[in-house]
Parts: sequence; structure tokens; C-alpha cells
Amino acid sequence: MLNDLFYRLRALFRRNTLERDLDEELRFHFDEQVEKHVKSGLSRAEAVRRARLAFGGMEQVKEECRDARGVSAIETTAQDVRYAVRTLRKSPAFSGIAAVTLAIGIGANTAIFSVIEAVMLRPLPYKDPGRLAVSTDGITYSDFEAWKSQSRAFEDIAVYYRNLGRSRVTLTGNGEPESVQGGFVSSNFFPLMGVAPVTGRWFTSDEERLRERVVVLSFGLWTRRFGASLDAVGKTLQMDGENSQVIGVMPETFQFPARDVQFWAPITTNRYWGEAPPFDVNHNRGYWARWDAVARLKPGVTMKQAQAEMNAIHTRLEHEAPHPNRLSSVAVVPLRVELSGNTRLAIYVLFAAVCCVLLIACSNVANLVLARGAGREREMAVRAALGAGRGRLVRQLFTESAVLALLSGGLGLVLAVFGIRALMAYAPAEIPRLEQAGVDLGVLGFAVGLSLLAAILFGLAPAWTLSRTDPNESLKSGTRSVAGSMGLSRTRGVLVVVEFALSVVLLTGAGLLVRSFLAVEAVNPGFRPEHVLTMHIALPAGTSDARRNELDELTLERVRAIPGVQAAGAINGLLDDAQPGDFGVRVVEGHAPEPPARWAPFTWNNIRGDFFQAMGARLLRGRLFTEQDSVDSPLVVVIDESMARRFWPDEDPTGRRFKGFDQRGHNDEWATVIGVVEDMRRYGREHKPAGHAYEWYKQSGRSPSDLVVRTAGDPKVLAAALRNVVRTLDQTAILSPVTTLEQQLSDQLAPRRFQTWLLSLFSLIAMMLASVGIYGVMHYSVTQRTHEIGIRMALGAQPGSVVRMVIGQGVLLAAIGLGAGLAGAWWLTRLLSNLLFGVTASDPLTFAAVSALLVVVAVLASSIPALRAARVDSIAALRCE
Amino acid sequence: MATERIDLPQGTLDLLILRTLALAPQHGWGVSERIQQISSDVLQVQQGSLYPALHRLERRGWIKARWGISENSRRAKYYELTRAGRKQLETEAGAWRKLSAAVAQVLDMA
Repeated sequence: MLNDLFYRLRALFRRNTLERDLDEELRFHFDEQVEKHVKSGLSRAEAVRRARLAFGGMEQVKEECRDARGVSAIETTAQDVRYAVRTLRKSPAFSGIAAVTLAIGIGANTAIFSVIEAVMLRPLPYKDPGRLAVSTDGITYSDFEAWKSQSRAFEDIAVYYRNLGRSRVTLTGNGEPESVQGGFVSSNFFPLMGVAPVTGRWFTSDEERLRERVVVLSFGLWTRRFGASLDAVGKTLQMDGENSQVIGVMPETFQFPARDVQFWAPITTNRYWGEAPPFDVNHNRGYWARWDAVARLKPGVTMKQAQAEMNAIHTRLEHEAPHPNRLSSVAVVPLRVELSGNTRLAIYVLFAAVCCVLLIACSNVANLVLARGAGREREMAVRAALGAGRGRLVRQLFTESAVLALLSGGLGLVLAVFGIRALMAYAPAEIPRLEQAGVDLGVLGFAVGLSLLAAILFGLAPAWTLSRTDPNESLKSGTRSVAGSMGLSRTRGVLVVVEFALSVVLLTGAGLLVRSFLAVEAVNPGFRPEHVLTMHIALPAGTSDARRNELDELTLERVRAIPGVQAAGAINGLLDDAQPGDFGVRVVEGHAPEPPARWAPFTWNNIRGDFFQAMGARLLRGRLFTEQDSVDSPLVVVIDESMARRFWPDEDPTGRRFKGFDQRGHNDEWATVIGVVEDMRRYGREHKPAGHAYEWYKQSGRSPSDLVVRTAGDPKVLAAALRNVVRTLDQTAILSPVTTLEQQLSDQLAPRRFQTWLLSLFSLIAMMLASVGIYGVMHYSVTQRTHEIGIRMALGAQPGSVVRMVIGQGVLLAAIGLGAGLAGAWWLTRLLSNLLFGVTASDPLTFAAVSALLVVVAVLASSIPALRAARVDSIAALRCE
Repeated sequence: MATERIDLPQGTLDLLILRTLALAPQHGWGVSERIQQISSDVLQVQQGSLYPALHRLERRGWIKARWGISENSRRAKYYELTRAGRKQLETEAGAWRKLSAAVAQVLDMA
């Protein structure tokens, strides 16, 4: 074994010596043979002839000796690589086009893979993350206690505040006041996640119980507020006006439950802790205090088993202690799935798309290699005749492919780096952990592996076809061997068909997404977003309702006075995703009581000023609020069409009354409908409007904080003025940037726009590559058939019929690909259906448009070679053969 | 007297080379001549298989090569048996004898 290795190494490093030795050894044998013949009485010339005959091919013997020596694998590879580099350098146009084509495929794949790696594959930065599960349906505190005591599947269960809006805290003290997102968690949360603080400690169960104001900082907040100083632990921060002591700092990767969480504090210190809605005295920590739970499975317990156990516990609780706020089911979701939830499908789709692009790029390059290979048949034949075995030829051709692929891989990696940067810049913020995407060892390995895979994909067919060249045929006839060329064109035709089929699938997918995007954009939001400015005004915690009311009063008054302002109003939660099910209509006058299950799609907002006018929402019936509607007058509401349709389908809802759950707790009071407005799709145009009721600020006693201002001209010029109004009225107010409503609506579409764009981009690249492919094949075919075309034209064929013939062949290839692609798309687009809006996965228009587009592309791509064919000079064509 | 030549069965060339080299170190030409001589011209070794075989055996460590001077005073590459090669020869020769005896027995039966 050792001897073997030594021998091989010696053979590798002392190649020249060994080659000389081999020469000398064989030469010696040859001479002795000649001598022997001479001694037996032959003439010297005859002796040499016989010796040579006996020896067979000297080169062949040498080659076999090299093989026997065993080093040849490495050595010939080195030789092949050198040769490959030379060959590639000799035809820069071919190499350049092939390398760029492949680089696009590899680069796109690598970029998307790095996203997959960061978002989905990389282990979550918690201890043994595979055993972490979450339940985000929202549970009540009493249920949480029951879960903890009854569950056997989990090692531990911790809870955190599910309502991120209610976990925002105003940070004051040194520097500009800022509103930051906090994570309010139970004390067993940190041990459960199993991540140690960078410095300091976690809080204890005693601190949780005693509602101590202690806080663990995120890495970001620590760096921003304390310059990452170790002295931070022990210092105090002003949170919502209260002193909180910093006790620890978590590592940068720790981002739970949300990416922008800046600190963690005992759940008991949240300002909504223990707030008891008056209508629900029996479950006083039940209604508002809805929690999300994170739990760690015991070793060996599966998610499925845990889910089964939770179902049992849930059913038992529902049976023993029915609770109106308990949701109908509990879902146990692996943490990984929850975190990448919405983006999973989109990322998979994109990855499939770039894989298609790579496949198309590979078959294009295979086509190029084959086209070039046609000119190399003679080279191969000469090599084969000189004693190169078939395996040796395949290996050599394959080495060329591998060198080309690795070159493209390098180029692709550069593209990927830019691609990743572009992705991060344009991707919607919702994709978790995207900021961690980048080229690391794993991604590098992926790119290298992909390059080699690509080499196999595009190198195999040419290597196989070319190495089958029959040296006799090829060398004998001056022209190219007919059989070989036919084999080549068949292979190339198949490749083009595959390219077209893949393009069809991609284009159909992209087409469906584009149609969905247009459909979403075309949805009437129920208001006129043009010329509207919005701003969120937060006041430090502890500000009295009276002060808030006074500030808003003055703000609205002064904003209305700004020239160019047409209407100004306010609402709470302008575009926030309301949580349907938080509110419900309990009783409608004259109807049977509503069961809790029917409450779900109903939301409730508080408004002030000329909100509807500022939004441009139309009043359909009745009237809007006036300043005469006050605390002392009967409770009145404006409802939207959906609600009107649902509860009063055939009647005029104005004047009708209902009782609902709302945030003030006036739940046993009849609310009278005074008007019906258009449905407003403020939570995103894709969402079906929920039934909605608007309540007047004077009657709810709370002044809403999202300012909405309609202007006559360009709204942006008034942005600064708007900000100034509030600033001069109150220095402590925390103002969001002033944005236009149009911008915000457009932001809502960001994820959809992003995936639509990317898929469209990839499918256009695919289509371009496929059209280049068909052009290449037709061009090659015309070149090959110059002679035949010359004969045809000499025999009287019109240029027009030649053109038709060539285009017909191109279109035939495209049509076969189209057929296969449509069948594939029909089957594959079903997977997209969750991403679609307003179109079905088998939308005939999209399928028809894609088919038409590809036929046009095929005609265009083959028309250039066709016109060339028509210009063939029959005399010259016949002479040149 | 010219006799019919027999193609070497697969695998026997290695055995013949080892056996030849067991007598004395020899160069490739010598090995081929010796085999032909001793077998009374029945076995003829093609150069095309001899040299690859020698290189293969050297790689396996059964023979080793060094440069020496031939009878007619030329530099020639001499091969000699190593200890491992001697052992290998014994094993292979034993196996061959057993095989040929068995084949002969079958052929000669009744």
C-alpha cells in the first residue's frame, strides 16, 4: 500500500525522468530485437521492419505502461486541464458566451441558495433548535397554567406577549426619545431557549413575580445606547418613564419573538399586564393578555405526539371550563417553520426557477459545445487513430467541460455576491434572517458542487456523442461524417426542446404572478390614496387621555389651517393588521344572539375629525359623525358595507342597533348605526374586507393617533409643515416619518412585487437563453445543409419556401417543447396557488399568452438563419463541397 | 522446430515473469527471451503486454527495478524479485499447479 503510494508519487513528481526511462527501456528492447533478427540473417531494414511490426504501436505500449504505473489518472488530468485551458483560450467567443451563460445560471442559483441557507437551513441560534415549537394562536393565562401542569410532551413551556404593538416602549433619558419593540417574556424563557447572555444575567422567577423593573438588552440596543460598554450592566434606562435596571445583554443573533426586538423584560412589567376588561371579570388576565407560547419538546417526543397531546388537553379544558375567548384549536408548529412561514413557498418557487434557468443554461452550453464539436470530429478521429481509448477521449472532453464550468462558477460567485446584495436591498423586511445571507463556506461548496454538476449536465452529451465518432469514416471522407452529424443534430434538437419546455413552465409561473399582481393593484381599496399624508403621533406613556385629546384637537385645527390641506382626521391603527376575532358582535337587535364562532371577522376602529373625507371613502347611506355626537348622547357607529351585508342583508341598517365587544368595554350598551361607508381594504388589498365598525372618539373617550391629511396638490411638500405643527405643540411627542398613503399601500405589496419581479426576471432570462438555443441550432443546421439547400435552389426552390422550411423546423422544435412545457406548467403551477390572487393556476389567458409569445420568439430566432439560407448561392454552395 | 504458439491465458503472464525473475535479475528483453526459450517457443510474450505487466508488478512491490549494464554493454533496466514477490510467486505457483492438475484430471477422466 505504502509502496503503491510512493510509486505513484514518484511517478507524479518525477514524470520527466520516468518518461525518459520508459523510452530508454523500450528502445533497448527494440534494438535487441533488431539485433536478433540481423543475427538470424535478415537485412537490417527487414529486421527493423519486423521488430516494429512485433512491437505494435510504440505510443500505445507507452500509454499502457503509464496506465499500469497508475499515476496516469492524476497526470493525464493535469495534461487534460492544460489542454482544456489552451482549447478554451483558442476560441474566446465560444468560451466567453458559454462562461457568461453558465455564470448567470450558477450565480442566480448561488444567490438564492445563500438566502435559503440563511433563512431556512442554518440552525436557529438556540440550543437544540429542532426541539423548539411555538403556538401562536394566542392562549389565555389560565390555559397556559393548565398546559404547563398537564403536558407530558414538553420539557418546559414559556410565554411571551403576542401583541407586538402592546410591547412597544418609549425609551427616554439620554438622547432623542425613541419607541422600541420589546419582548415581554416569562422568566423560564431564557433557560428554555438555551442561549447565554453576552454579559450579565437573565431575570429570575422572583423578579418576574415581584414585577421588578429589570431589562436584558439586545446587542443592537446595547451598542446604540451604551457603545457596547461592559459597564452597561447595572445602569438604568428610562422605559415608559420608569427606571429599569440593565441586568444583561443577549448576543446579536438572538432575535425572538421578532427581528426588531430591542430588549427583554419580565412579562409582568408590561403595562397591559393584568388589565381587566370590565366585561370579563372571571378571566381578568384572559382577554387582553393573550399569549404566544414557545416550548421545548422532551427528547424523543415528536411534534405530532405533542400536537396530539395538546389537542387532548385543549378538548378537556374546553369541556371542563368553557371560555368564550379560547380559540377553537391549538396548533403546535416547529419554530423553524413558524419563522420562515410566509416566505417558505416563495423561496422554494424562486429556487425552482433558478434551477430551471441553470438547466437551460447548461443545455445551451451543451449545444455550443456540440456545435463546436462538429468541427472537432476530425481532431477526435485523429486522436482515436493515434491510440487514444474511448474512455480517454471522454475524459478529455469532460475535463474541458469541468474547466469551463469551474471558470463560470467563479464568475457566477461574483455575480452571486452582487445578487445577494441586491436581494437584501430590495427584499421586503419580513424575510427573517435574510441579513445573514452571504457567501460562506457552505455557499462556496454549493457553488463548486453546482459547477461540477453543470459540467456533468452539459459535458456528458457532447462527450458521449463526439467520442463515438468513427475514425475511419471521419478521416476517409473529406467532409464530415454523415452519421455523426445526424446524431449531433438530434441531440441538439432534444436540448432545444428541453429548453423551451422549461421556459414555458417558468414563463407561465411568472405570468400567473404578474396577473395576480395586476389583479391586486386593480382592487379598489375603497378610498382614494392619492394626495394623502399620514403620520403616527405617539405620546410618552403616562400621558393622560385629557392631554392627548387636547393635543390632537389643536393638531387637527392647525393642520386644517395649512394652505393646501383639504381634510384632516385621525384613526387608531390606520393600516395595521387588525386581529380579527379580537372583537365581535354579540347581539343584533331583532336577531338571535351571535355564537362566538361567528364573531371572528369583525374589527373596530376609533376615529376623529374628517377621517372619511381625508381618506376619500364614500358614504353610502345615512350620515357621518358630527361634533354633536358626544359622551352624553346615545352611542352611534358608522359601519362598512361588509358588515351591513352580513347583518342586515335586505334592509337599511341605519337606525338599527347591536351590542358588540369593543375596546372600551361599553359592551352592554346598544350601538346605533348612523351610516354605511364603502369597504376600505386598509390591511392590504388582497385581504377580504372584514366587517367593520367605526366609533367616534368623543364616545370612546380615546383619541386616535394616526393622522390622515388630504391635500390639494403634491402631498410631499406639506410633510415638513405637518411635522412642525406637532413639534411646536409638544416636544415630547414621538413622531413617525410623514409618508404618503400611496407609498404605504405600495409597501404592502412589497413582498408580492418582489417575488413577481424575481420570477419574471428569471423567466425572461430563461426565454432569452432558449431563443439563443433555437437560433444556434437552426444556424448550425443551415450551415450543415448549405449543400442541400444549394441543390434545392438549383432545382428551382424559391427563397420563400426555403425560409418557410427553416422556420418551420425551428417552430416544430419550439412546438414540441411548448407542448411538454404546457403539460408541465399545468401540473406545476398548482403549487403556486397560494401565491395567486384573482387568477386560477390554470388561467387560460396566461397559458395562451405564453404559448403565443414563445411561438413568436421561435419564429424570430429561426428567421435569421432562415434568411441566411434563402441567400445561399446555389453555384457557390455546390462548388464548395 | 516451429510449434504452434499459444496465447497466454489471462493472469499467467505475471506468474511467468515472477518465475523468470526468480532465477536471476533480468531486463524486459531478457524476460521475454527466457520465457520463449524455456517454453520451447510455445509461449511468446507480446511487448505490448510485457512492459505494462512489468510496471504493474513494480507498482505492487513484487519486483523492483534498477539500471544496469547489459551483455552488450548498454544501459538496461533490470528487474529483480522482492521478498513480497517471492511470496507471491509461491502462492501463485501453488494455485496454478492445483488448477492445472484439477483441469488435467477432469480432461483425463475415463
